[in-house]
Amino acid sequence: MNAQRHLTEAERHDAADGSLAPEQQATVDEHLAQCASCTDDVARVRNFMTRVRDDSTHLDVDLWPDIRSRIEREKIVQLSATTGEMPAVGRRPVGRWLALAAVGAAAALILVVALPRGKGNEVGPTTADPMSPEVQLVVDSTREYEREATILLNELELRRAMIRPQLRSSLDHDLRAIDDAILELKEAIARDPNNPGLRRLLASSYRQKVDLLKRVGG
Amino acid sequence: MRQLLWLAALSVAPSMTLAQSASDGPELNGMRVSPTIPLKIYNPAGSVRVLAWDHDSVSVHGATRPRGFFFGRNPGALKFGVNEFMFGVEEPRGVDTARAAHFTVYVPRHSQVAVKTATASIDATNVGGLFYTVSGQIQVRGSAATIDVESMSGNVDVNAGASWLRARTSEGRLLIRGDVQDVDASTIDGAIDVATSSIFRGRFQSVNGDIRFAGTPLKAALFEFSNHAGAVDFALGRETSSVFELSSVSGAIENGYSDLRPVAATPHSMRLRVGGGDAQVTVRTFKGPIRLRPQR
Repeated sequence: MNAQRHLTEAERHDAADGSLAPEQQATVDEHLAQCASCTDDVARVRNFMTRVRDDSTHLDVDLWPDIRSRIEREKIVQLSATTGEMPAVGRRPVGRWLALAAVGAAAALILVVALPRGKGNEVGPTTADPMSPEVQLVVDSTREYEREATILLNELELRRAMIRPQLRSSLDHDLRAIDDAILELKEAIARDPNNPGLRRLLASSYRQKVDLLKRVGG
Repeated sequence: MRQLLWLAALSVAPSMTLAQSASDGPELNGMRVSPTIPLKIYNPAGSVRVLAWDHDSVSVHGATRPRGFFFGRNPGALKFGVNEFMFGVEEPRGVDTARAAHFTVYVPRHSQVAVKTATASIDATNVGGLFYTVSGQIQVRGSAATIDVESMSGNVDVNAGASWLRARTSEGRLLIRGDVQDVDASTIDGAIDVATSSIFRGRFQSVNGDIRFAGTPLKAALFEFSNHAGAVDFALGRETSSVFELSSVSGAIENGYSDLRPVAATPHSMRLRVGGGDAQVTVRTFKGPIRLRPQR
């Protein structure tokens, strides 16, 4: 970089957490010495990371209840009652990886289950056995998708202010469309709980929600 | 002797590299790279044209060198032992609006590109990888091993040969043509148009967008369509040989084959065998209609 070219996002973050490659350090330092904009950014990122990483740091204001209530307002499924603690942001996301791994396994299962088997299709009024193993697999994968969607939504909520307005409005519109569909499907399942077709449609809707959130998150 | 020279020239011609054209503009940057190098390309606004060639190098062309242009190895990836190359235009900070930059990029044929834009359109030919935009248009042509296309509100047109295609749009229309084999496509509100008979295995889903399939399913092909409120519409070729499992919670199911009686039917589902019944097509909707008809 030079005076004309600012540090890239990666360089700013590396500078903030001190993980710059040795050969980069000098040029980045040189740029920071003459660029107030990048220096501010690096300081901001460093400050943010310090606050997030330091478990002993408590914010004066607990933001989580507000964030949570915003999520709740836009959700179909309510969060289980918890202590209202802030989620473990900044720690190693072991839970998230486990959830992702579980979703991966569930996705494989749903592929197996969702593919046609030559039997009649069952979206219409139920004729299927109550909760066959096949249906149980779909239910399980739906749960995994749902859990992953919740994790991704929470992460997104924390980064919401950083998303460009056009993308944010598109995302809100799309989430509303998917959540409306999920709501309709859940109501239909409540009336016809053993309908495997409905459950597959529900799993499919959650899969779309996860896809969308990953698309925006990525 | 002259004939031999002509023959030699002709034999070389097909393997010659893609010629750069004057309209691409001057080379902004170029570098030798390994033939399979991962390449990341960023351009917030304007356009990116990516073309494969048979050189082990990257060459970026444009009429002018845009502000915020960068070009080089990705130091972040190098830390993890990945030799990755990245170039493009930095997104302006704060309230600045990105200025439109227009690139033509030549990349090694077997490189894996990841092109990301905000509003810039992407036009890729004979290149595989990930193509992502927020609201630009994406067009992918030629052939590639795998293609992964994502757009929020822009339209996507894939007219390519690929063994694997994953395509996502939200509001944008998704058009799938060409010689793709394994397809996973989904939209939220955008329509999905499938106009190819080359797919072996396909999964298509939408929430509110219509899904239209025009073609002849391959024998032994496996398809799954699901839609919440949008329609699923088939216009099938004469050679179609497939079993259709159609079901909808409250949408209408219309059989446009007047000479074919369903194998099984209820008010909300229908099993129909067209031709020999080799391929398997499953369709589920919640309230979207399902229509089946022969191509005229």
